[in-house]
Amino acid sequence: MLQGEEIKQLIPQREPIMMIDTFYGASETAGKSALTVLAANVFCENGQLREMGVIEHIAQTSAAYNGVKNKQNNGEDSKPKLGYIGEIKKCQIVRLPRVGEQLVTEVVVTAQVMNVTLMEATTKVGDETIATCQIKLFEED
Amino acid sequence: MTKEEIISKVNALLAEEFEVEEEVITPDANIKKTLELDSLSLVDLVALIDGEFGIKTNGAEMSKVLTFGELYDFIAGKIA
Amino acid sequence: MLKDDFFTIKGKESSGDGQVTYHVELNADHAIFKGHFPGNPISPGVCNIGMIKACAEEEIGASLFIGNMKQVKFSHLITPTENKELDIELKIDATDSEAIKLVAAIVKDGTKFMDIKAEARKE
Repeated sequence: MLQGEEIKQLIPQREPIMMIDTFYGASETAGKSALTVLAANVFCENGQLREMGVIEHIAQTSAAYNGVKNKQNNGEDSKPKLGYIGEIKKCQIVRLPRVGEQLVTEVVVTAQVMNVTLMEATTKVGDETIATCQIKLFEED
Repeated sequence: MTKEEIISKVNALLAEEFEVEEEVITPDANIKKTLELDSLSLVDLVALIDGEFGIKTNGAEMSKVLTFGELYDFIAGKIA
Repeated sequence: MLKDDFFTIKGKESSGDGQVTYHVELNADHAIFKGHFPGNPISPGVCNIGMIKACAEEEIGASLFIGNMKQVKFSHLITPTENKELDIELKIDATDSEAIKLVAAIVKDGTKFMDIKAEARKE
């Protein structure tokens, strides 16, 4: 498990737009991360994390999965590659998370071709699913 | 599954997903051109084929498949 | 939250077919560009969604919750240096206030940077 500053080994994003604070690890085809919503979060408004924050948290969970794979393939010292959201489909946000709540997101790889990864994401607060989506991540070489 | 079954399944699936007429999907036609795939949407094709036929395709394999004829053969080889 | 901070609205135009175009300008000095990415500022995809949302809210005159994004496609990266000025094209069908249909794109000089199909409701 990686937390806080250690997350920077896996993803290229930096403050104020780091949207994961814990990475639980990755299997061959899945990764899991968490974010506790703070009032100071750049995507927080009136005590709620807005849609943009939820989606960025999902995107960075995907990026962290890629970061783990990158280290496995290219060595522990490999820096995280720059990556971007290529596409989002079927994104349902049931409700916005509130300050103090912890989002836990799991991404599962559906398919991967070259530097494009298609994943299914599920975000929960406790047992409650608050968001699901398909996300396509594009990574620079 | 016979080759004919693979062909009809693939054609129906791709025509619906990528919104083209089934008639334009012929064995010699180029997949990317016919379906207007860009670098981002090739992965959608792989996900669709994998899901439908219960196979696992990696990106390197797929980059060698250029025409629909090659795609039918590729799937037939995977499920054989 | 992004309006008048991450970006500003410079003007708007309506065309006859129900489309509204907002002219916007990015704030290259915003802190988000320091973290996305250090030394290589690129507008995060979610901020592009956020700018569209802010313009839609401006147009409707109410806060929106976008609970259903059917498809969002990012075709080109937006950088605050190369793409400071952008056009946001909106088509909004608010007939059903519980499922406001939003179709929008960010474009400039013939380049489409992203487009979105979504359903939102007023908050």
